[in-house]
Parts: sequence; C-alpha cells; structure tokens
Amino acid sequence: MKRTKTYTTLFFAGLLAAGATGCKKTFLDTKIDTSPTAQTLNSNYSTLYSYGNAPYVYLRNEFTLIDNNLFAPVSDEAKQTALSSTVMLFNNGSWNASNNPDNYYANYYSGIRAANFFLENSGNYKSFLALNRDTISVTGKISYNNDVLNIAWYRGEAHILRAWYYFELAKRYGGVPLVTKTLSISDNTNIPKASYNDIINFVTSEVDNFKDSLQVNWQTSSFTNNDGRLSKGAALALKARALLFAASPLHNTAGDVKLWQNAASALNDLIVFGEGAGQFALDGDYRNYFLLNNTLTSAETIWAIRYPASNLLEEENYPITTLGGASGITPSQNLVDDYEYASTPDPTNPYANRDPRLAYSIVTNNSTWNGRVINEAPGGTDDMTKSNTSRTGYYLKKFLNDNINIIQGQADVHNFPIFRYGEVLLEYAEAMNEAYGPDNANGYGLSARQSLNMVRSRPGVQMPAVTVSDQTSFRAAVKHERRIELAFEDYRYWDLLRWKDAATVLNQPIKGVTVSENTSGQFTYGTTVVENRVFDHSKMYYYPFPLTEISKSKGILIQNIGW
Amino acid sequence: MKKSIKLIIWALVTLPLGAQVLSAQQKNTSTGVALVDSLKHKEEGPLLNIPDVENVKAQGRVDGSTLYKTPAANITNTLFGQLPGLTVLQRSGEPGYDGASLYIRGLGTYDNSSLAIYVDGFQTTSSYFQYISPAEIESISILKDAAALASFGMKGANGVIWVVTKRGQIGKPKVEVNIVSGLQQAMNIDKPLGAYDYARLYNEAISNDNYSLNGYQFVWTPKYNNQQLQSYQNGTGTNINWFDQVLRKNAPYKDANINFNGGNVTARYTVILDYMNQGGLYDVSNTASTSNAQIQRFNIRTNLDLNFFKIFEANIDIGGRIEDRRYPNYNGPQLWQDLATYPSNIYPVRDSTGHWSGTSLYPNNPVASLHGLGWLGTHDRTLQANFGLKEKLDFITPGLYLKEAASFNTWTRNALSFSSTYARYYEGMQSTTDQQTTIVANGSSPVDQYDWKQSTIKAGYDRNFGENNISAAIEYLASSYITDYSTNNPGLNTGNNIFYHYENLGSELHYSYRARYLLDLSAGYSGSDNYAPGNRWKAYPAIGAGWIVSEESFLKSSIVSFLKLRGSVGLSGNDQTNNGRYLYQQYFTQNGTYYTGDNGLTSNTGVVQSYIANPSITAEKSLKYDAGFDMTLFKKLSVTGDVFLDKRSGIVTNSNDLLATFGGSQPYLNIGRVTNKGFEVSGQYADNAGKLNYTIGASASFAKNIINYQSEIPTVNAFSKTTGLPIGTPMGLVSLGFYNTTDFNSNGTLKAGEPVPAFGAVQPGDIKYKDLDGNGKIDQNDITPIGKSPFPTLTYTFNGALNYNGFDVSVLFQGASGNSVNLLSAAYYQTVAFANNINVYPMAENAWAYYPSQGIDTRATATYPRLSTQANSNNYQASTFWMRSGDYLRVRNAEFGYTFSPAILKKINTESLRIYVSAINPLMWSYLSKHYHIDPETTSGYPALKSYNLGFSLKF
Repeated sequence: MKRTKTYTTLFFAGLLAAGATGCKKTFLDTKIDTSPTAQTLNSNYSTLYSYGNAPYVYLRNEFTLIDNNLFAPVSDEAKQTALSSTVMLFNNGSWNASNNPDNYYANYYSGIRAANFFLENSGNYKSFLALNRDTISVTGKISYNNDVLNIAWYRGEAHILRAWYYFELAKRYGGVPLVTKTLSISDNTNIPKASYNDIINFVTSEVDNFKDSLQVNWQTSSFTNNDGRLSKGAALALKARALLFAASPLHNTAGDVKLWQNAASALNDLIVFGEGAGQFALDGDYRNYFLLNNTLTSAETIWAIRYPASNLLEEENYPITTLGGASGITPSQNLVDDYEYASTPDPTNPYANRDPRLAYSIVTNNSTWNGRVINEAPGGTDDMTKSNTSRTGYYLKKFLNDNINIIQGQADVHNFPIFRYGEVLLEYAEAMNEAYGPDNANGYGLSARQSLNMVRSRPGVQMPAVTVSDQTSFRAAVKHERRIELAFEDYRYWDLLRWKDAATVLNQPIKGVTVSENTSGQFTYGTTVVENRVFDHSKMYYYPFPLTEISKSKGILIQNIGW
Repeated sequence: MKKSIKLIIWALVTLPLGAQVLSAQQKNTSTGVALVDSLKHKEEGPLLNIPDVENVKAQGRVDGSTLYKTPAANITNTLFGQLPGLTVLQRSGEPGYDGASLYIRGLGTYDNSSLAIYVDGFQTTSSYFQYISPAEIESISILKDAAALASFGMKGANGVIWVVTKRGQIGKPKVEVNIVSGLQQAMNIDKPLGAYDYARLYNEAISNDNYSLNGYQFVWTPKYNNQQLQSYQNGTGTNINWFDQVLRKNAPYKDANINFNGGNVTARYTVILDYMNQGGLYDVSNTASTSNAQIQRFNIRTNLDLNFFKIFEANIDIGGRIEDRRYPNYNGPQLWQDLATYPSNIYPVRDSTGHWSGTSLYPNNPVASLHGLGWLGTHDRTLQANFGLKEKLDFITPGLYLKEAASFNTWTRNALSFSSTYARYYEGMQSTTDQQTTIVANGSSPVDQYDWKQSTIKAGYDRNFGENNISAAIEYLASSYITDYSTNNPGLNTGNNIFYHYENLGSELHYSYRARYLLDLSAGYSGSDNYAPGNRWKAYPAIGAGWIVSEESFLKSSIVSFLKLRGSVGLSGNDQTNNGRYLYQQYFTQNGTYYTGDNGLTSNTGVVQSYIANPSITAEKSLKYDAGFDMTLFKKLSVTGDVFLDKRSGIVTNSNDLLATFGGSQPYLNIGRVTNKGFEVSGQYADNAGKLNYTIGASASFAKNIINYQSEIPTVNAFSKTTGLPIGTPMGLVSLGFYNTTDFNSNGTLKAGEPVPAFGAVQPGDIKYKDLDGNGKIDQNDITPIGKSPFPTLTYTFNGALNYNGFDVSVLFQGASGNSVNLLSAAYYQTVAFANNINVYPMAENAWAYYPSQGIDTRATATYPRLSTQANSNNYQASTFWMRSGDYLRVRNAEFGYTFSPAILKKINTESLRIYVSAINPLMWSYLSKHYHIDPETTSGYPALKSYNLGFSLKF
C-alpha cells in the first residue's frame, strides 16, 4: 500500500512536470502572417522591383506643394486668392519652426531610407533574380537578362534619387545630417548636420560614380515604358544644378570663381551629352510644351514626373467665374511688368507686342480663356469686384489645359518637368558668365551669350538677342531670362534666395492691375498694391529645422541662424 | 522555467516530510496534526481557501442577493457602489448594449485597461459576464492588490473580478422563485427647442453671418418673417417634437427565475433557470416588419458537486444561455443623432399625401426610420461548461490534494434582418430617388463567434501544525482562445481566426502563526504568445503580510473587537495592448505608386518596411504597493481601509524618440510609465434598537493617476505637454469671454494689440481665447490642460437599511466626482447650434447678440457665443468655455419590502415569501442635468434608464 502511495505521488508529480514543460515550445507559437514579411518577400524576385520603386514614391508633387497648388505664390510671381491659405504664412513672414507650410523634412529622410534600404538589400541581385525561375530557355533567358539590366539601373537610380533628396534638403535647410545607410532602432539617429559643402560634394560624387550605371535615354531604348525613371541626363543635370547652387552668392560667400567654373564644366558635360546620346533639343511650342503628354515626348525634357489624369489644377486655378474654378494662383503685376516688349508698345493695350511667353503663361484682360473673352472691367464677366476673383487682375495659364469642363469631371494629364533643356541652357549662361564672362566659351561649344540667345530664339518666342557686353549687365539679363522663361516652375523663390536678392525683391509689395472700360469700349488700366510682403533676411534664407527635431535632439542638431 | 519546476516538485515532495518532522516535535502541544477543512465555511478563492479573518489581500465582495436587488438587464449595471475600488461608468441604456465599463482602482495605464473576469475559476469574456443573471451568482469579488493578483501573472495588472456561482447545499430540496416586473423610463432626455424658438434664433444667427457683408455692422436680416413666427407659436406651422414622436414613456422589464437546490454528502445540486425580457423606448411594436429595441435572455445553470470513493470530489458547472436582440433596421446612434439634429419645422411626419416626409437635406425622417426600414435581430448562444476533479491525497500525506479542471466556453452570434425602404415625399412630391419597397427577408447569417478552451492542474497542501497553519497551492493553466471577426480585438495583426494561447503557473503559500501573524507569498509565471520566443515568459512575485493586532494581549479591549493590519507589495503583468500583437515581427507595406511611360502610364508600386519591429517587446509590468486595515469596533461597526500605489512600466507605446533622420515608422516599445495612487475606505454599522434592525454604511474610493512617460512628441510650449497629467486630461484653449464690438476696427479687423486667432475670421460675440505664449497669435501652440480627465477620481456611496417586523427599507446613494465633461465631445449636437443644418438647444438661448432695432442686447449677460448658421471654426474649439463639471450623486436604488411571517407561511408550506417595490435611479443631482438637462454619464445617444419595479421572492 505504501509503495502504491509513493508511486502515485511520483506519477502525479511527473504529470505536473510534463504538463508544465512539455508543450511550451509549440503551444505559444500562434503567429500567422497576413502582411508580407522579409521571408515572403525574399522568395519572390519581383520584390527587388518593389524595393526599387519605393524611393521614387517620395518625390514631391510640384502641382500640390502648397494649398494644393504650385509653389509660385511664395515668391513675387503670384498671389493665392484663397483667404485662409497656408502660403500666407510665408507671405506675411509669420512662418517659423513650429509652423512651416513646406515641412517635408521627415519625408525626404523616408525617401533616403528607402534608397539606402534598396541598395543594401539588392547587392546580390543577379543571383536573387535567378531564384525560382526559368533562366535557361530562350524566352526565360531574355526575361532574366532584362531584369538584370533593369535592377542594375534601379540601383544606379537609387543613388541618384538619394542625391536628389539631399540636394532638395540642402536647398532648403543648408547643411543637413548625412545618412548613407539604413538606420536601425538601435543606431544613433541624433546626427549632427553636415556642412552644405559636404552635402554638395556628396551629391556630385554620387553622380560621378553612378551616372554610367544609368540608362542613357529611355525613349530610344527598348524599355520606353520605363521613361520617367532617372537617366544619365537627369543625373548630370542634378550635378550641374547642385554645383550652380553651391557657386551662388548665398553659399559661395567668398565669391570663389572656381566654384562657378566647376558648375560651368558640369553644365558643359550635360550639354555635350545632350548633343549626343541625350538628344536634347528646345521644344518648338512654349505654350503646348507644358500640356498633356507633350512634356513627355518632347526632346526638351530631361526628366519629368507623371501623374494620372486629373482636373485638380484647373479646378484650383480657373477663374471663379468659370464653373468649378477657384481663381487660386494669380500672377502678379510685378511679373507681368518684367515681360519685355517685342516691338513698339501699344498705348491702348499694354499686353500687345510683348514677349509671347506672357500670353503663353498668363491670362490677361481681354484675352480668350475658358471659351470666353475675359472682361475684368466693372460689369464684365470677370468683374474684379466680385468676391474671389483675381486680386491681381491676372489668371494662371501655364500648365493649365483650356476648356476643361470641371463640373462634368473632364480631366487630362499634367506632367511636371524637373529638368529641361531650356533651363539647362540658362544655367549654363549664368555659370559661364560668372566664370569666364559673356563671350568666353573657354573651349566649350557654347558661350554664355550663345546659350542665352538660344533660349530667346525658340520658335514661337523669337525675342531679340541679348547684346549687353559687361558681366554685370549680362548677369542681370540672365536673371531676367530665368524669371521669364521659368515662371511658375518653382525656380523663382530659390533663385532669389541663392542670389541673395530676396531681401530686396521679396519685401516689395505685390501689385495688381485695375481695369476699367471707358465710354468707347476701350479698356484702361491702372496699378494697385494688392498686398505687402515680408522677408526677414536675417533668417529666412534657410528654412528652420522642425521644432520637434530640435527639441528631441537636445543640442546636437543646431537650428539655423535667427530661428 | 525547468529549474523552477524542479524546485516546486522538490518542495512538494519534501514538505510533507518536513511537516511530519515538525509535527513530531510539537506532539506535546496537544493540537496534533489536523486537516484543515476549508470547504465548509469559506468560499473558493483563486488558489487557496483562506478564511476572511486571515486574509492579507485587498479584496471586496458582494453577495449575489444584494445585486439582485437592482433589477437591471445587464449585471454591470447592478454593480454601482457595491464594491469599493470598482468604478462603473455607464455609457448607454440601449437594451442589449448597455454594458457599463468596469475599472478597478481607476486607470492604471493609457493602453489597454480592461480587467480580467473569472467565473467559477476560469477566465471569460466581458460579454459572457454581462448577461449572467444575478440569480446565478453566489458572490462577486474584486481582487485589487499585488498579493491577490500576482498569481494571475499577465492577466492581473488591471485587477480581477472573481465570480462564484451558487453551489448546492446539503439539505432537503429547496425551491426559490423570484419574479420582478417593472417599467423603465429614460432618466433624462435633453430636448431641443421648438419651431418658434428655432426660427427666432435662426434669424439671429443668419443676421450674425451677414455682419461682414453688411460693412461690419449688425443689421437684422431675418430668414423667418413675423408671419411665420406667429404660425409656429399658434400651432398652425409645422412644429414636430421628434423625441415625442419616436419615443414612448415607459418600457417594460420582466425577470423571472427559479432555483432548485439540494443534496447530500454524496451529491449536491443547484439548477437555476432565468428568463428576462427588456423592451426599449421606441414607440413601435414588434411585428413582422417593425421592431422596438428589445433583448430577451434565457439562462440555465446546473452546478453539481459530487463526492465519491472517499477521495474524489468532482464538480460539473454548466451555465448556458440564449440572448435574442431585436432592433429597428436603422443604426441606433445615428437615430439618436437625427433626433437631436433634425429641426422641428422641417416637415410633418407624414406629408399631405400620407407618405413619409423627407427631403434631400433631411432624408431620414426619424419616425419613418423606425417604421419603414425593417428590423434586424441577433441570436446569441453561449455556454460555459467547467469540469473539475479533485483528489484528496491524505493517504500520501495529510493535507495534500490534486485538482484537474477543464473549461469550455463558446459563443456564437447569428443575425437575421428584414429590410425595406420608403419613398420620401415633401409637399406632395417625391424629394429623393428612394422608392417604397415591401419588406424583404435577408436570411440568417453568422456574424461572430469565439471558442475558449482552458485546462488547469493544481496541487495543494493545507495543513495545521499546532499553531502553524500552512496552505499552499500551485496551479498550471493552459488557455486557447480563438475568435472570428478581426475588429473584435484592437490593434495590428489581429486578423481572423488567430489563436490566442496563454500559459500560467500560479502559486501561493499562506502561512499563519497563532492565527495572528500572517504571511502570504505568491507568484505567477506567465507565458503569452504575443511576444517573441525568449520574451514570452515573465515571473511576477508578491509578498503580503498581516498582523491581527486584536489578538495581542495589549489590545484586548471591548472597543476594538477586531483589528488587522496588512500590507503587500509585488508585481503583476498585462499582456493586452491596444497596439496589436506580434509587434516583434517585421512586416512590409506598400508606400505608394510612381508612374512611368509616355503613351499610357505604367504604375510602379513601392514596398517599404512598415513600423519597425521590436524583437524585445514584452508585457506591461505593474508594481503594486498596498497597505490596509480591517477593523471592527464595538462588534457593530466594521471599517476597512486601503492605500495603494501602482507603478506601471513597460507600457507599449509607439515611440517618438527617434529623429526624422531615421526615415522609417517608429517601433512599439515598452517605454510608457504611469503612476496611480489612491485609497479606499468603507464602513458599515449594524445595530438594532429593540426589534428594529438597521445598518448604515458609507464608502469612498479615490484613485488618481499621472502619466510619467509616453514618448510624447515635443510640444512648442511646455504648458501644452500631456505628460505629467492624468490620463485623458482634455487639452484646449483658455477662454476669456467674448469679443466685444470695441475690440474691432471699423473695417472688421481686430484692434492693434489684440492677439489674432488662427482659426478663422472673428467678429463681436465670438469666443476670445488667451494667447498663452504671448506671440500675438492664438493657435495650436496655446493649448493647455482645460479641465479634469473624464474619468472620475472619487466615487462614494452611502447606504442604509431598516428592518422591522417583516418590513424592510433600504436605499443606496452613489456619487462620483473629479471628472470634467467637454460639452463639444460628449454632447456635440446638443451644444453646437445650427451649423450644418442642425437644431438648436436651450443652451443657446442666451447667446451673444446685439440688435438694438429688435430690442436684443445680451452683450453683458451672454453665456453662449454668437449664433451662426455656418460651421464656425473659432467658437467650437476645445476650450475652457465648454468644460463642465461631471460630478453627480444619484439614488441608485431604493427598496421597500415586506417579508411574511413564518407562521402564516407554514400554512401554505412555503419557507419564506417577500414582496417588494423598488426604484432604480429615481433621483439625481448633478450640475449637467440641472443646467443643461444632460445626464453626466450618458451624455448623448440612448439614455440611461430609471425604473420602478414590483417583485416577489418565494422560497419553499
């Protein structure tokens, strides 16, 4: 009996032990993955494409940068009609570290992370692409080789995209922290900022090292449906722009002419490339270049970003008197005044005989738009006393398709050219002038004057050549040409900043035109001040780092001066 | 893990040997070795059966019969004021969906604060608990401190509700019948203004809106002319009170149950059958095409206890029920919103042609929503079946026992619906594209279910060695839960049909010496499947000690008949988080599309890591301290008090500490910390004056928490931080009153020196906020705490009962204070007037207005900003202007009953018969209800209910 008792004790004790220890390993493993994991992704070679596309997603939509519209009203080019717009914070100088309408800081670093991640995870792409697929048969082999080429290009593009994001950060903030690997949660993210020159050097070295890993020209390749990804031309254009910005007075405080020479050299490389494999050529139709698919097929485009059909831009910027319109961005008299006269001025019509680009970019009084003649005189269809009509007397035309029926949901595509040949020529003219003077080509194919006049003599524009001979006057001519040629393309604000002209120009009030009709039906025009602008040159040449970043950083990340 | 198991087995085996040695030494004390027979006069505690006298844990208990005194459909609504330390917050009175939220000792965490509910020893869901009938319940206890909760491991941190159902008693068969029937009414309905007041205030509003168009002057530009106003006043105009049209005054409530109880030493049984039917307040009857809100439930419980073969004790507990709910086929909260927002003058209930009225702006005629859209019903079947077998192993060593138990808990819900729609007419013409259709049956379909299987093995030891008493037990639990329907559980990665597995090794050792020095050691060792292997298992030890001072010779007095001091400190854990499961697994997600191509776009989708995985994620930890006393004075007054401190750490929080250079979504880390402290005190005095027996009692519970760390995104100004404040503290602007006409220039702009608000244009009569950071702008950087958390810090009760010659009277008061109500979030549609075409409430009658031509000038006395028909973003910001105190005091129940004398009853062979009338929630005092007619607990939607009941209880 006693033995039975002992055995029973031991039996129950054993049961207890078994029950407690036996099932532990598998009983608590209940996880079922309903989202992709590294494991599921690593079993499919198309994952590399997904990783490769990820950095592209963070490119900004230039059509919706501020108030769901173009960036133009930040500068003296235009005024936003809406009463409670966020761009007002820029215009009245009340933006600051905790309230910055253009706060994309964290998203740029997300783009940089996506690029780092892709580069680190695609090192063995050739063997990864061969995973679980037929690489032997004829079609299989072709498909495999195409994928190898594609991923190789994607890898080059990731370098350039990362460089592009750093350039965009430096353009706004000056020196920023430089991150070149994917950070994990145990890494130190509180990195001090690198200097502006370090960032620019990084950009140029990335381009130099990887420009030859890129597709030369998508449109002439056998992968035309990949057009929109970075190409060698885009990479060279990025390097050139970065060097130009670095040479500009804001960053080149010593006025070192060597920096201008570097920029000129990079621009020359780009133009030489364009004359060869790049096949760059100025478009013959300034008005239509910016519309529909023309931007994509034109030889002027070096890199453009595509968007599906939408009428958002028209909805924002058509006159309020057009059904569905909201007036939106309205060009300023300041900009209109700068369009040159092509021939003798007409006293009755200030918009006649002007640089054709005025009519191509801006809707003026007594012109045809949205199927009617714009009449802004009292009693006219676009009477400026009606609420929410343009306060400046002008409406945006560039980028906008005419006669879109917004109410019925008619929509068309819009594409934004990030790099185009016309802008490259103007950069070249600026750099060459600063480096060597207006007429010294320094052995390159074009002199500053030649490239400037190429832009002016575009078919459909055909403005007379610039003849001023000294560097200072030529510099003014180049600046003027950039203002006219590149209106509304998100260059003006950054040009004013890098030339250090913002302190004078961006404090000027925005002017508009007043329209009245005299008894004989003729329009008479006057000027009016629409609003005052504020620009504090002691700090606003650089964006402030977001206040949350400065607070979290506790002294490592130093805020930009004055903020 | 393995090491501890070996240790425990060693202890189990050697302890009896050691005990025998001890007992041999103490043989001369004449107490000898005696089994501690705990079953007879104690209830099952979670692990051990310890008499209340020796308990060192902070607990509270209420009997099922006390709960039954509050006839309520949902058992959570019977718990108000019954258990010190349990906060009960009611949010709705809708039949079938009127569960109150339960919290033990306030809020301890800002993450998942739901407590664990155990019925008959096994954890079950809140939905199972809510519709148990009080007739089935023997007692409900709450376990509050570390000594009680440590053995629950990762389920204990938020407290535990321990429910014990009735068990069979040895004796001749007894039958108990209880029937109660009553009428329920809404406690409080805040009704909007009628058509006349709506129209006259609307005129004010629209004139205010035209202020800027009229050259910044107040010009009277009314929409409703005097003729129309007259017609509303004299009744010829359309003036529909939607609440009166839709709701009935009384809703019926019935509950009947019968309890069979009896048995002998070998077998004891109790069988409980219960039927409950609660109707709703909608004025529509239950037909084939329409339905009121209603819930019916049928409960059956069979608890059997069996003793056989001298060493076996078995229990079979089966509790099942069916719940049938019915509703109009129109979303309840939306219906109450329509009632609150549809103005009284929009259209008559039916238009001149007899069709239901409706317009495109107000398409859902509230009366038609009840009558014309059909109805839906849900059918729930649920069962909890527990089986236990205990072997008394006294033949191995006295006091040793082993118990195995298993529990099956399942629930399934089916829904069936009948739908139709109706055409909306306005002034004789159809106004929308809806067509009248006949009722269509949509068939029955399964909606949701869960299945919960648990099993335990427990070994225990109860033994007396002279003056030393030892009780020890160790229990291993394995639990497997699976549910449908991913929205049952909040957070990431909680998709359909994922199992939730949990293992726990709970142990407790209770030692008492001379029945006066008490020691309690307990520990839980839990493993949860939420975490990565390596982080799943955590230990939660606790120690409690007590001293029965009244047993000491120095404190033998007639005043203090009992005094016990006790304290405990220990850990418990919480593996439930609202952020989701498997946060250690790295997942990937699509981040967007990039388009390429020239003639036709190709979309290229990118994939990036989603939130970064945290491989070391683990359970929240709670370090609890408790000190308390239990005292009985004069043998009549019993007082219990506790003071506690709960330091919660490791709360799963989405980190914000990494800088933007990280570039990815931040991980979920165990970094949150909260401190919660408070006290409970309760006293009960029972005495008699001759034949009059009376008891009076009071209790108060207080708990206040502070968030110590939550990885908050740094705010611009220090006063905008929420860290360092209680959980849920409302944040907003500080209001300084109203803008006056003198604050503005003639062109409508604010005078120089006045801070400019960033929310929109302002005009006289709008709310003026304070510019706290002094930068001349009023914007999001000026927000600061504007009131107290909506969770009350103090709850208190008073109760009294009298018993004289068969008559008994009892009353229970319960109140809560220390919380603020934000009118804009708690009762938006009763606060904001006119915006987006809604109605207006009496609160808005004293709005700021200045129309001297109409004789209106409330500038000096206004209590509401200027009215507007447009959505005004300035006035309806969260601010001190809209915060009100949420304090209340209610009479929870008042009962008057008569128990027939046994002499009369013997003649009809009944043991006892009692009849009673009771009133539930008859009276209330609160700031919100007095000034705004808003109930402080259910501020909007289906109101909480008061009821008047008649019942009887028969035992034979």
